[in-house]
Amino acid sequence: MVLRTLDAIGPLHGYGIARRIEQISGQQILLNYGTLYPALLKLEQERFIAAEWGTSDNNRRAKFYRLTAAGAKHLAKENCEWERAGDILNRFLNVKGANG
Amino acid sequence: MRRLHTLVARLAGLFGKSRRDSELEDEIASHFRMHIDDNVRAGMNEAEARRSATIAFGGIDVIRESYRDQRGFPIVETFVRDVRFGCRMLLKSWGLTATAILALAIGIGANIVIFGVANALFLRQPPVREPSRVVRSYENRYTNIPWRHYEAYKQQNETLESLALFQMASISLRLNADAEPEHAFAMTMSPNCFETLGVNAAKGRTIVSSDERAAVVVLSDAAWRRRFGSDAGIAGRDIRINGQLYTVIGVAPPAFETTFAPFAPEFWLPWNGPGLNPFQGQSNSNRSGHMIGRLKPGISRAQAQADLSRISDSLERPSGAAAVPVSVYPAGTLAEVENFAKLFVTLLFVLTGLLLLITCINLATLLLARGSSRTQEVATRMALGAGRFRLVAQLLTESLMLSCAGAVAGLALALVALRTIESTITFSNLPIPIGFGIAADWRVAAFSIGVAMLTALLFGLAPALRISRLELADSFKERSSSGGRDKSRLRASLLIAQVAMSVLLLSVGAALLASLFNARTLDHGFNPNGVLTASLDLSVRNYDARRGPQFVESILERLRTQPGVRSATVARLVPLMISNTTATLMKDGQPAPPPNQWRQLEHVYTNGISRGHFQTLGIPLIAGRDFDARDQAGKTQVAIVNETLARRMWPGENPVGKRMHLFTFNNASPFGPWIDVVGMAKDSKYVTLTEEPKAFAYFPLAQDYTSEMTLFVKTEGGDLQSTQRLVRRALQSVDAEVPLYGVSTLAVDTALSLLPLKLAASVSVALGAVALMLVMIGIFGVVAYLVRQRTREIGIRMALGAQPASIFRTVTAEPIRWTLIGFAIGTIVSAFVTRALEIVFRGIAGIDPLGLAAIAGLVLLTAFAAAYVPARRAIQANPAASLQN
Repeated sequence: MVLRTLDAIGPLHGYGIARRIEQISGQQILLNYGTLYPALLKLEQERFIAAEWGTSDNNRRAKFYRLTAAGAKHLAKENCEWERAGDILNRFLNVKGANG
Repeated sequence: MRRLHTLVARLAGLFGKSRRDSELEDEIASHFRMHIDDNVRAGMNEAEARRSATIAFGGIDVIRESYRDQRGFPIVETFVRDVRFGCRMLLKSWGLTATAILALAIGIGANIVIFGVANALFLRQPPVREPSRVVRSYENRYTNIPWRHYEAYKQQNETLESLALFQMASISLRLNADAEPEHAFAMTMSPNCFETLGVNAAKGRTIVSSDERAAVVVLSDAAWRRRFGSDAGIAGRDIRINGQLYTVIGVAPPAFETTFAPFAPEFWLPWNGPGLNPFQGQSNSNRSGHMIGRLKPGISRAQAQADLSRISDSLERPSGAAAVPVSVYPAGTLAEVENFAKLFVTLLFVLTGLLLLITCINLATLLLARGSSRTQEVATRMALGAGRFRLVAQLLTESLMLSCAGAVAGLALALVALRTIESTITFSNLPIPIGFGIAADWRVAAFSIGVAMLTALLFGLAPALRISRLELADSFKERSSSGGRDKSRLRASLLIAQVAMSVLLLSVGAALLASLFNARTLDHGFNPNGVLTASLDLSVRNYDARRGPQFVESILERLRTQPGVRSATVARLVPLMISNTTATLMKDGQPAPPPNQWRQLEHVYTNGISRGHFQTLGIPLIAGRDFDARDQAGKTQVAIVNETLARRMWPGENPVGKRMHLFTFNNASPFGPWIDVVGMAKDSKYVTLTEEPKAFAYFPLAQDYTSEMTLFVKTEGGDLQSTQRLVRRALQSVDAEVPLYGVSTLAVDTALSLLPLKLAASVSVALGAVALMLVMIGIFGVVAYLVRQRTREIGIRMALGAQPASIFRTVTAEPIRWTLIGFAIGTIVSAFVTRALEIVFRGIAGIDPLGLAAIAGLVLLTAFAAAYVPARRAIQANPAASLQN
C-alpha cells in the first residue's frame, strides 16, 4: 500500500503517507501512524524506496520517501499477484452464488 | 536479492547507533509537528491537537523498539550486551573466575595436546602430490625389502605407477674445507623417489632419475635453516660428504620429511653417490630398504598388496624360509606401530576427556553456588518480562566467556607442550633421528573451538536451567529447602572419587620418586665416573671387518700414550643404554636340540669389545686374561664370560680353557666354529639397573665387528672439553674424515635407563597436582552451595548466640568427612597399584608411612583451605541480613 501511494502521489513524508492511506481506504483502515515507520525502514532496506530530508508545504523539515526503479518493478509484480488472487477468490465466490 | 540488501543494511545498522537514533527522533518530532499543525488548522487548540496526535501515533516506545529491531541485528546486539554484563559479573568475583579459567585451561589444554599428537600421527597427510595414493610397503608386517627383491617388484608389478626405495644412513659432513667433520643422518634413495612422490623443490631442484651416481644432495628445510642459515644462494654450493665433494642442488619444502615418518632426515642423496655405501652396514646379500610408491589411479591398497605378494611368492629365498606376504600401508602414518599407537592415543584421550568432564562438573557446582546469590537479580528480570530463554541465554553467555578464556589459555599451553614434545623427540640422543612433525594446524584450532563450546554447554547449561527455573513468588519469599537426597549423594560420591584419585596419583608418584632415589645408589657393577664416551661410525669411510679393527687399534694406541689418559677402549654397546645384542651359545658336548625346542633356548647377552674394556670400566677380571693382539679375525675365536654364564654352563668349575659355540638354528650345520673361553669377568648390570643377573659373553671386536661403535676414555681428572679435544686430535691423525659425535660421559649415558621411571614419576605427580586442584574447586563449590542453602539456619543460630567455630564445623563437616573417606579409599587402592607396578618397574618401593602422612597432610590442608573462604563468609554474614534473605 505504501508503494502504491508513493507511486500515485510521488515523493511524500511518513505522515503524509499515513494520512493518504487512511483517505484512500475511505477511512476503513485506521492504523497507528507510528507503526508505519518500521515498515518504511524495511522497504528502505530492501531498496524499494529511497529517503531524503526536505521541506514540506508548510515549511516543516521532514524526511521524504520516493519510489525507486526496483520498487516500481516490485509493485508491478505484486499487483499482478494480488489481481490473480482476487480472481481466484472471485471465482469461488461466484460458484457459490450459482448454487445458492 | 532483497534479502541480501536487508542483511547488508542491518549489518550496517549495527554501527552509528546514536546518530541513527537521533535521526529517528527528528523524524518522529517532525511527524508530530505536522499532525499537530493539521489538527490546529482543523480547529483544535494546542493541547487537544497534541493529545490527538499522540493517540493517533501509537505507543512511542514500542514503535522505537520495533524500529531498532528492524534496523540492526537484535541477536547480535543482545549478545554484545550479554557479553558486557557477563564481563562485569565475572570480574566482580575475580578469584573464582581466575580459578575457573585455570582449571579450564588445563582441562581443555590437555585435550588439545592429545589431539595435536593424534593429528600428526594419523590425520595429517604428507606434503606430496595426491597423498592418498602414496603408500609404503614391507615384507611381512614391517621387514625391510631386500634390494634385489625391490628390482623384481619394480619390474613386475601391475598396480603401481612407480616404486622407489630409501634407507637411512650415517654420513660424515663437512660444510667447508677447514671445518671438522660432523656426523649427520641422510636418506639415500633410488633416484626416482622424488618423482614418485611428485614433489617439487622449494628452492633449486630435486633429485631426478638421471642423477644415478651423481654427487648431488637435497637439503631438508630444517637443515637449510639450522646449518646453512637460510642462505638464499644455497643451490650450487659445495659440501663434503664422506670425504667426497657434493653439490647442493635444492631445498625440499617444509615438513617434507614427514612423508618418511618416523624418520626425519636432513639430507637426501642418490643411493649410488660417490663415497656412499648404499644400504651401508649391511653385507652385500642383505642390502635392504623401505619401499615407497604411488598407486595407479583407481587401484586400491588391497589390490597392490595382492599384486606384490604374488611377486613375492615367485622370488628366491634362502633355504627353508617360507614365502612372505607383502603389506601395504598409507604413507606418512606409523606403519610399524599403527595399532599400538592408536590404542595409546585413544587411552590418553579417554583420560583427558575424563579430566575435562570432572572439571566441568566441578565448575557447574561452583556456578550453582554462585548462582543462588543472584536469585534476586534473576527474579527482577523475570518480573520485567524476560523470558526463560533469554535468562538461560544470558547465563550461558557467561559460561561461554569462561570457557573461551580457558580455551585460549589452554591452546597457548598446548602449543608450548606440543613444541616441547616434538623437540624432546628430535633432540633426544637416539641412534637415528626421529620426528613426527607435531605442530598445530587448522584442525587443531577447529578442535579447540569445538571443545570450548562443548565445555561451556557442559558446565553452564545445568546451572543456567536451574537458576532460571525460579518461581517468581518463591524467590521473594523464604528460601525453599535444599532439593533432593540423591543430589547430595551424587555430590558426595563425586568428591570422594576425586579425592581418592588425587591421593592415588600422588602416592604412586611419591613411590616412583622414592624408587628413583634408590636406583641411583644401586651398584652398577662398573665404575661410570670419569669416563668420556663418544660414538663413531666407521662405515662412512668404508672401514670393513678387515680394516676397521686396524683403525681402532691405531686410535687406541695414540690415546693411550696421551698424558692424563688412564685407559681407553672401544665397544659396540654402552651398558645400561637399553639396546643389546644376544646370541644362543652352547657348551662343548651339548647336543643340538630339535626344532620344537628352539623357542625355549636361552639367550646370552653379548658385546663386541677391544682390549682394555674391563680396565676402563672398572670391572674386575677374576680369571684368565683380557683380549690382546692374538685375538684377530681369522684366528681362533675367543670369548670372555661373566660369572653367571660360567655358573650356568660349567657349575663349580673354572671356565677358562673350556669351549663353546654359537647355535645357528640351521639343521644342516647347527653349530658355528669353536670359541675358547679365555677369561671370566665379574657380573655387572648390562641392560637395566634393576635386572636379574644375566649371562653375558664378551667377544673381541675384531671377530665380532660392526662399524658403529663407542669410544670410552678414562682420564685422570681433567674436564670433558680437554679430553674431547684430545680424542679429536687422535682421531684426526688417523683419518680426518671420520666424525666423532654424541660426546658424553658414561655417567650421563647410564642414566638413560632411568628415563621411563623418571617420566612415569613426573607424569604421576603432575596429574596428582591437577587432581588436587580439582578437589579444591570441588570442595569450594560444595561448601559454598551448602552455605547458601542454610543461610537462614545459620542466621538463626548466630542470632541465638552460637560460636563461629561451631558454625564453621557444621558447614564443613560433611565435605571434610567425604575427604577423609576419599583419602582412605585412595590409599588402599594405591597400595594395590604400587604392587602391580612392581612388575614394570622392578624394585619400586612401597608407600612408606612418612610419605603417606605427607600426602594426608597435603590433602587435608587443601580441603580446609578450600572450605575456609565460603565458610568464613557464612560466619561473617550479618545474622539479620541472612534472616531477611
